[in-house]
Amino acid sequence: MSKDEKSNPAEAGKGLDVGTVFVYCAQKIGSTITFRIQRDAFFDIEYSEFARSILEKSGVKYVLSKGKIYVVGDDAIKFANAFGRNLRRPMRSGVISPGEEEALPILEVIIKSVLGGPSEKEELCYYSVPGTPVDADFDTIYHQNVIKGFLEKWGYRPKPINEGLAIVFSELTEDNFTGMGISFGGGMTNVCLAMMGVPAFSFSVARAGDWIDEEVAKVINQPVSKITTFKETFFNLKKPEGSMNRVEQALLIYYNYLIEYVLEQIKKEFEKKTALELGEPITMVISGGTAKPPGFIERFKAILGRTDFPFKIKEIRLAPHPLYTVVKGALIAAIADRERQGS
Amino acid sequence: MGSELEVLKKIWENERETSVKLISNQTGFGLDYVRYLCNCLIRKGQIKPVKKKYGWYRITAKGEKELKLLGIIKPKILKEDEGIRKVILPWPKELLKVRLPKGKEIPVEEKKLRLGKRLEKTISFLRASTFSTKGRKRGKRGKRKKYVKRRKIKSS
Repeated sequence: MSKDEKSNPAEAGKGLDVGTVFVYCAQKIGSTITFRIQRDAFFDIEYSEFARSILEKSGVKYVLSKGKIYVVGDDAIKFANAFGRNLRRPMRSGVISPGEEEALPILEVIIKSVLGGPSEKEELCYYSVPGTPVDADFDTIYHQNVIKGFLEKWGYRPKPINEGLAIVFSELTEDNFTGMGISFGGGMTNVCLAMMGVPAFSFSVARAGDWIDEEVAKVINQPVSKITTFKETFFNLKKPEGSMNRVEQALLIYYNYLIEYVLEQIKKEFEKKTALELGEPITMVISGGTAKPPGFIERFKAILGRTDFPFKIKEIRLAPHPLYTVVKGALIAAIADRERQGS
Repeated sequence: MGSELEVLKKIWENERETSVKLISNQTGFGLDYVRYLCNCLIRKGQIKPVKKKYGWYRITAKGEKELKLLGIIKPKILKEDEGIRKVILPWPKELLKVRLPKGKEIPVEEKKLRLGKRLEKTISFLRASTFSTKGRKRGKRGKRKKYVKRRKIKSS
């Protein structure tokens, strides 16, 4: 424990980002923010005492169930690659996966591991929820209520916050919380345009990092997990196109398409809101794991420059910590809301 | 809806206890069939015979829970707070139960960033704009006058 943590106890109020690929929790302790991270993935193996003792010795994260051992977190990827099977995920396209029977209890364990118990009675916890998807036939009501149920069960007072709005809270202080937050996540891309902290419109598209991986895997004829690992570790959008290999070229094509698609959807949504008038040019903040490869923001700017956009942009920037932006925004909302109620 | 469930629902609707005759009239099932269904429900512990009332049955807590789980009874609204209805939804029975190995917790990756000061600034801005519902507090009138005077002097 650091000196700062010893002298300053954790401030009440937590932020939680339940993402398709990772679950994050943020808490303020003095002048430090502690982020707790767990990969949102699992892998099942048949139960045997032998298997269990090996896992125990190797320090693998696992939970037990009737006749099965579920390896959770990063270790699940190693097992999936070793067994040549697909990794199982409790979330898909930003919400609880309908195709995974074990999704609920595993997700509960994963969230509990990062969140821990409340530090006070009915501690306020803001949790991120995706916007309503404009290109998919599902809503986020079930997902939102299940997470709320978990948090209430553990003694928290849960409040949902739109992912895009959390980015605005996190990164647009100087702009008086006016601007657009875009999160290129794993399962979804979330967009929110806010005016002085109030959302003017928000939506999501069911295409993001996972969609890129799946499409590239199809055209290259390679396993999805291999593409994901390559993308997360080596992919660089700044690399000259001529020197890119087959996988990199395919990734580049789908990255370009995703950016064009998202910008097209923003245009459509903005044009639907005929009453909306933006007096001044606005700032756009981009975050999320899919926006992490070097050169993403430059490519985004280049594509936006070619697009006939309905409003003026003052600045486009990548959030300083793209993976933690949403959870940081949720934490800000939790502390601000708690202080307001306390005052 | 199954016949057993229909009988269970009728008992609950008739102020939680009712007679075989009334169920038969309301459902259109024969008396013997209703008796048979009631016996099945007794075996499941969802209803109980009423003492000293032959042919009368009362719904048990287990029976009510079953109706809630199937969504026939609407979930109980605990309180209405700021226009938000707090609803507790029952969890499905067949949900898989997982447990952690004894005395263990799942370790998580932790990252610490020195962003506290920045965060405080953002929070104060946010409180002033978004979460503020009350008007800003003003100081005493005297102080306000002083401020105005000083400004006048400066401008002159």
